Amino acid sequence: MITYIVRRVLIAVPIFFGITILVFLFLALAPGDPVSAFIRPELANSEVMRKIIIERYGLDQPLPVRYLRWLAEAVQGNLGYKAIGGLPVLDTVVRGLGASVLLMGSALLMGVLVGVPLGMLSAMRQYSKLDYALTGIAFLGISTPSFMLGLGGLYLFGLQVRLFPIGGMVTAGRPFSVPDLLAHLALPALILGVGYVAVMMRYTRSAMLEVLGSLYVTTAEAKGLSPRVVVVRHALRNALIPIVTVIGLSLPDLVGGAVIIETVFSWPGLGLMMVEGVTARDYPMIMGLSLIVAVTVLLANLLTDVAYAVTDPRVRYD
Amino acid sequence: MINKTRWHRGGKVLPMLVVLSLLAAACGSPVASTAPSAASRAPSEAPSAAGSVAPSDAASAEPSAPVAEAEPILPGDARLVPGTPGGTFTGAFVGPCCVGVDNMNPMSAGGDYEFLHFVWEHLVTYSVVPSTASTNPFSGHYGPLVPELADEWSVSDDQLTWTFKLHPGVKWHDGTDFTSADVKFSFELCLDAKVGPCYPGGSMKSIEGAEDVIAGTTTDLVGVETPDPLTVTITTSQPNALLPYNVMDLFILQKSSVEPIPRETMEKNDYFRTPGKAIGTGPFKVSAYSAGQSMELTRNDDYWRAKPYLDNIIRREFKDTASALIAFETGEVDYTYVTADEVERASTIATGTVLPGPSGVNLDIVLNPLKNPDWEDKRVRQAFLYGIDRKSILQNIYNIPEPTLLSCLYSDPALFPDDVPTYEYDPEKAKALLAEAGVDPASWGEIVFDTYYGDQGSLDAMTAIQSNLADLGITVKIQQMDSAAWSKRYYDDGASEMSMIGGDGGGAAGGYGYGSLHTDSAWPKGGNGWKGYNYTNPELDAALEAVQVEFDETKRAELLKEVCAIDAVEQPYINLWATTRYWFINNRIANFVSTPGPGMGNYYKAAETWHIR
Repeated sequence: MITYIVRRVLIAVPIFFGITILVFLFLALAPGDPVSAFIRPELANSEVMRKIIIERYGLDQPLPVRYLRWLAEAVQGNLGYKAIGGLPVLDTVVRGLGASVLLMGSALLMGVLVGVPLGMLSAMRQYSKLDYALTGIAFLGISTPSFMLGLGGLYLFGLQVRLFPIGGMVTAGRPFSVPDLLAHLALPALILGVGYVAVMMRYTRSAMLEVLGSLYVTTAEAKGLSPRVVVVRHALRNALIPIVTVIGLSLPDLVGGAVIIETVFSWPGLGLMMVEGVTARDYPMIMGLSLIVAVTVLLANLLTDVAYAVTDPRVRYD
Repeated sequence: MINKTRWHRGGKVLPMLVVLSLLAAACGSPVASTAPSAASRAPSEAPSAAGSVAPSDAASAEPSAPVAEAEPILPGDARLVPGTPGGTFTGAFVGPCCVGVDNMNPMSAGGDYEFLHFVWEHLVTYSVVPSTASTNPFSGHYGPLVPELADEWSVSDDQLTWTFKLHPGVKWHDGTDFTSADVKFSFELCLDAKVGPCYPGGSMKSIEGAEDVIAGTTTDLVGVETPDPLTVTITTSQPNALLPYNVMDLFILQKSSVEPIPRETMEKNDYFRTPGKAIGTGPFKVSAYSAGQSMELTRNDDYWRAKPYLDNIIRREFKDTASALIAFETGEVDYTYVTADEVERASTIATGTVLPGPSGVNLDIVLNPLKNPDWEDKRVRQAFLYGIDRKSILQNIYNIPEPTLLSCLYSDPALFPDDVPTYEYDPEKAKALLAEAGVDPASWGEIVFDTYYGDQGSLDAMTAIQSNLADLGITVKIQQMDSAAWSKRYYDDGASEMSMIGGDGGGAAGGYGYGSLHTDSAWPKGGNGWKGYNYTNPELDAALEAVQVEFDETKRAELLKEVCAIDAVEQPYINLWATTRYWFINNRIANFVSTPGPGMGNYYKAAETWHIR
C-alpha cells in the first residue's frame, strides 16, 4: 500500500505541473488581460500607467519566463497579490478554502448521512410507496436548479419564516460566534445538501439493489442471519464501493465551491472567487485558485483509490 | 484677483446649471465614457424617464408632489430634520457599483469609490437637487459644487491660478490638524504612476507639472502650492474653467500616515482597510473589516461639520441583488440597489422608498468606420438613429411611458438647441438617408453587434434594434461578451464592427464631452475611439475647447448648446438614451440624500445628519 501511495504521489507531481502550465496557457490565450482590470482606458494618463503596470507585473515578458517566475514564487508559498484590492492571494485563497470546505463539507456530510440510509431504505422496500416517494423526492432534488432552490429557500426560510439570516457568513457588526456562523451556514448547506442527498440516495439504492440480489446475500439469509446483519454487514459494505466513488468524485467540489449558491448567499467561497477572478482576468488569483483545486483533486483521487482498498476486499495494491 | 466662482459655507445657492447626467455615475467614473471597468457597468439599469420614476405612495415615507425645481441640499439645509443620536445604518452594496469591500484604496477603488466618502473627503463636492416624489429621503441629480474641505475657491485675473481656502479646524481621525500639505501630498500621490492607477488623476493633467509627475521625472507637483496651512493654489498651464470639477474626485489623504508607505507597494498595503490605520477627515472612521464580507464604520465624534447621529455605518457585501432585496425586506439592510425589473416589486415593500437617479451613462451605438468606410458618412449614422424605434423599446422593454430620447450626449433638455433634430422613429427617412449617401446595406453583409452588457434587458433591446435595422436591409448578429474580452476586441484590437456601449453622459469632470469627443482625447489618452481610430471634427473640437475656458456659467450653457448641436447632427457615437438607476432606502432612515449610481457618487450626502426616525 505504501509503495502504491508513493508511486501515485510521484505520478501526481508531473500532472500537477502540467495542470499549472495548461491553466497558465489558457489564461494567456483568453482575450483581455489584467491591465484592463487595473486601469480604465478612458483615464488620460493610461498610456503611462499601462506601460508601468505591464512592466511592474512582468506582462511584457515571454510566456515561459512569466510562468517560471510565478512558479519560483509559488513553490516558496508566495502566490502574489490580487489584481483588484491588493489582498495577498494566499490569504484570500485560504479564507475562501475555509468557507468552501465548511459549506460544501456540511452539504456533503448531510448527503452521506441522510442520502445513504434513505437509499438503503428505498432499496429494501423496493416498489413500495416509500420507495416511490423517495425516488420522486430524489429526482426533484437533482433536477431543481440551485439558484431556484437558493432564492426559494431564502424567500421561504429567510423572509417568510424568518428562520435564517440572509446571506453572509456572520452577522456584520457583531463579534464572531459559532452559533451565528452556524445560523448563516444552515440554509445554504441545507440547500446544497438536498442535491447531495438526492444523488447519494439514488446511488445507494441502485448499489444496494444490485448487492441484495447477489448469491452471497441469499446465502447469508439462508444461514438464518437477521436482516439487519445481512444488510449492514454483508450487503452495505459491498454496496459502498460505488458510493465511495461518488463521494470521492465529490471531494473536489469541496474546494471548487458552488458558484450559484455562493452568489445567492454571498458566501465568500472559492467558486465565487474563481468567477470574479476570471471576469477580472486576475492572473495571480486564478493561478492560486487553480493550484489549490489541482492539489485537492489529485489528493481526492488518491484518497478514493485508497478507500477502495479499505471497502473492497477484492482490491489489493501491494 | 477676481472671484469667478466663489462659494461660502451655507451660502445662497447659485443657479443650477450642470447637466442632468453630469459626472459619470457608472461606478463613479468621471468620464463614464466608453470602456467598461473590471467591475463592469450596469447590466440592469433602465433608460431614464422624462421625469423621474416616482415610487408609489405606499413605498414613500413622506409622499408629496414632485419637487419640480427644488433647491440643492446644502450643509445645514432646513430640510434636513434633526434627530436623536444612535443606531446603525446597514447598506447592501451590490450591483454595478461595487467591486468588493476589499477594494478600499481611495485612489484606485472602482465603483466602490464613494463608499469611502464616509471616511475620506474631497476639496469640493456636488450638491443634490432633489426631484422625486419623496421629500425625505431625497433623490435627484447633481446640482452645483458645494464646499467640503475647501470653504471657497476662486481664480486669478489671468485665469491660470485657482485658490482654495481650506476650512479651519478640520481634524484627522487621529486628532491632528488637516492642512494644505495634506492636499498637495494627495495630488502628488495620485499623479505618481508608482502608486498604480489613480482614478481622478486623468482629469488633472492641466495642472502645471502634472505631466512630469506622471512621467516620473519628479514627485514635486509644481502647480500645487501651499502658501499657508489653510490655502492651496493650483496653477494650470492654460485657463481651465472646469478645474474644480477636474479635482473634485480626489480624496485628500493624511500625509503623515500615508507618506511612509513605499509607493510601489501602495496597492498591496492594508492601510486603507485596517481600523486604526486608515485615517481620514470624514464623519465616520473604519472600525472593523472582514475580508470579502463587510466593513464597519464608527461615528467620528469630532467631525468638523457636526457630530454624526448614527453610531455605525455597516457595509455588507452582497453578490446578488435579489438576495439583497430579501435582506432589505427582513430589515437586515437599510439600503440596496435595485435593478429596473425589481423596481415594481420593491415599490410594494412598505418599509422602503425607491429613489431613482440618473446614472450619468448614455447608451450609445458605435460604428467602426475602419471596418466599413460607409459609416464615415454622418447620414448613415443618422439613418441608424431614425431607423431605431427607441420610444417603443423604452416603453415596451423598460416600461417607461414617456421616455426622453437623446439627441446629443447631454440628457438635460435645457441644453438642447431649439432646432436640434429629435430623431423620432422614421424608417422611410432612414432609407432615404441611406439612399442619399449612396450606400447599399445589403452589401455590408452580416454585422456583428457586440456589447459587454450581459443582462436580459440589454439583449431584448438589442434584439429590437436588430429587428428595426432588418427593416432597413441591415443584418446584424448580436454578440454579448464579458468586459475584458470586449475591451480587447473594441479598444486593443479595434476589431468591433458595431457596438452597444455605455457612453459619455457629458459630465463636467469629463469636460462636458471633451474626454470622449475631442481629438486630444483619442484613446488611450481619453475615451475617444480605439486603436487606429478616433473621431475628429475641428468644429466640435473648437466648441469643446470654448467650453473649457468659459468661466461664466451662463455663457458656458450657451456653448454647451453649440456642442450639442454639432453632436446631434454628427452622431459620432449614436446617442440612444440616458439610463436611470435606482436606490431603495428604508424609511426609518431620515435625511438620506442620494444620486445617482449605486456607488454613492461624489456629492454632499448629509451623512452626519442621517438618523433613525
